[in-house]
Amino acid sequence: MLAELERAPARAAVHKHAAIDPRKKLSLPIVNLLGLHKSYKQGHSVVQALQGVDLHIEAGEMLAICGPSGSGKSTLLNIIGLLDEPDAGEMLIDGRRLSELSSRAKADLRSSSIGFIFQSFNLIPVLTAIENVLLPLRLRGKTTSADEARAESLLRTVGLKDQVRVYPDRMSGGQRQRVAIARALITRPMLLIADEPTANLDTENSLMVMELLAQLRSEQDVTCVFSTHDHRILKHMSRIVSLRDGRITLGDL
Amino acid sequence: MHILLLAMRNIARNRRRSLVTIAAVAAGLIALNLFGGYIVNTYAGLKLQAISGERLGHLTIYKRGMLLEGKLHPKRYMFDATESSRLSDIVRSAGGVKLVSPRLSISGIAAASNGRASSIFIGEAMVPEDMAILRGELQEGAGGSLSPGKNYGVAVSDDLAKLLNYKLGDTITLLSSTIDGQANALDGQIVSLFNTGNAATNDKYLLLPLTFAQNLLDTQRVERFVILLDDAALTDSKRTELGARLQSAGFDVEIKTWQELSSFYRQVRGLFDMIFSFIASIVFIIAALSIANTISMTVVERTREVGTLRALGLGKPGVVGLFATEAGWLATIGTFAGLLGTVALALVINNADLSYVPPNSSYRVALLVDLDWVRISAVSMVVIVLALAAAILPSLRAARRGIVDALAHT
Repeated sequence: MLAELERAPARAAVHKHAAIDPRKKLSLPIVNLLGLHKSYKQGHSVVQALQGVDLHIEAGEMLAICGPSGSGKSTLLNIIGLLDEPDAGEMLIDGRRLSELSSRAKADLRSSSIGFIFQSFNLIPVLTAIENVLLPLRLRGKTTSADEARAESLLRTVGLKDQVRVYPDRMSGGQRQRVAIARALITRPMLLIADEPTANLDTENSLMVMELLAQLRSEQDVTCVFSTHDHRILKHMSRIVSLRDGRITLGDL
Repeated sequence: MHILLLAMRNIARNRRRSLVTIAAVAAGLIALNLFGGYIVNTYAGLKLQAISGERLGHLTIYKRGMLLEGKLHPKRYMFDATESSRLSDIVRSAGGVKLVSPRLSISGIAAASNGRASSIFIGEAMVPEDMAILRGELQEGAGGSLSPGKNYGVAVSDDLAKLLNYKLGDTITLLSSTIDGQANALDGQIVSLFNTGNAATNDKYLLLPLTFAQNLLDTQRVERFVILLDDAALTDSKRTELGARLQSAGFDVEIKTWQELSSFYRQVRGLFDMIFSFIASIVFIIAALSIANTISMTVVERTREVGTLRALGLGKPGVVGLFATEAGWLATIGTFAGLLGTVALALVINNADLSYVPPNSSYRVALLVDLDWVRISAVSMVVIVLALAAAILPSLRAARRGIVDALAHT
């Protein structure tokens, strides 16, 4: 069975934890990856980060990409998040071919449709919690009072109603990651990319963050893709993909 | 969060480094502004000295050729009484003219009244009444003065007076050649002792009434006319206008401005302008390098932050704009601090009663600073523009870096 799954594209995986609202177009993949290759230089050697990855991510999924360090998880996430480009292969996002998008169009798509949660939170230290949350909108133009109300609402949702005007250096790691989650959701993205979101958190905060993400994923109608090797959070996933040496080795756990 | 506020908060993140950069910009500007203020004051003093102290007025009218061959053929290049009267009328009718002052240059030997000592002299003759008008705001005692009504009253330079043991009221005997080459001597009375301000002339210079000099030279002619205008700013335009009027009246003249005639003013100004440019270059380089260094370090430290901003939607121009704004803030705050420091130090200097003896001068002059706001504004603008330019390179480096690469920066 495992060998069969290893040979099959990840799309063939059965959704064991398919706790997804059927209204969320389960059958329509919002991300299709076909034969992705990516290599990069490391010193004098070339590292093959991805070697022919096929993956289909459907709307409403909560997908985890697992694997050891150096397996290509972050590279894959960067490509899905339009932060990087494959050397070969094709990617379709929301029905649009990546290869046909200009860099400006990719940047627009990224800022309007994709939310990011980083391992190290990556909050801007000179901005308060609400200013950090509003940042993606402000980078696209002026924000309205409705935007500010939504940012406050998101901060309330993530349990930070008393930290709205607090700077990140006055917050715990868990609180910072919750601000980052609110920031990722402020643009109402269709896709949420989280690169090892619990790696810098203790168990209690990791579980809290994952429960929050699972709750928000269903409330906010967003597809989530995580990279992680934290087994504590896998129970929240609707699908798990395993990556090793740049290849998908296991499509469903 | 406006980009200006975001940039300001970023500057405040590393206070010590920002303060050092701001201090470098401010210190450079203070030095430059104070030196600029000093030379403006010096230029004003030199201008006053040239126009009133050296009695050059704003314009001087010569017969064409006088400056080249006047010494050889004085009669040919001097204005006779009829020409003098016509020329004065034409110049006065042009308007904006405060004074038309006929002049003669003279040289010879000055002898002590007891005849035991003598020394060469060079002198300038003018109408004593003209002097009061010409002196204007020149301080009392500077440059010498003649006494109106005293047709044989002579003003003698300090060192010449010492050399010949003259005192005020003494008789002075002046020997010279007439315009036709005959020896002539006349006695005058010393009505003023003065310092020429120049060590090279303070032992031989004297001033005498025009009629006295004409009697000594045995002529009614004058060598030139010095024109004092109501408005110094019109010097060049008046030169053109007077040249045209005199030419149409049949005069073949050349008209020199006071700047052209005062070689000392030109030399000092040329020297100070060069020094100012040199110091300004150094200050600009220091300011630009300080800001470039600060922004470069900031860019390196905030590489991951730039990656985050790019990932969240900030374009490459936005990255450049953010760092350029931070550089602009540093330069603006430094400039503002520099302005405050300049005003404060200028007040201190101007009230400290400082003085010094300039090169080739025979008396002390006050060390004062006149704040030249046009120059200060221009220098400030240059610093701000340079700061923005200095930020471009490191900002572009940050903007060009790949998002993934930036996010992975540790």
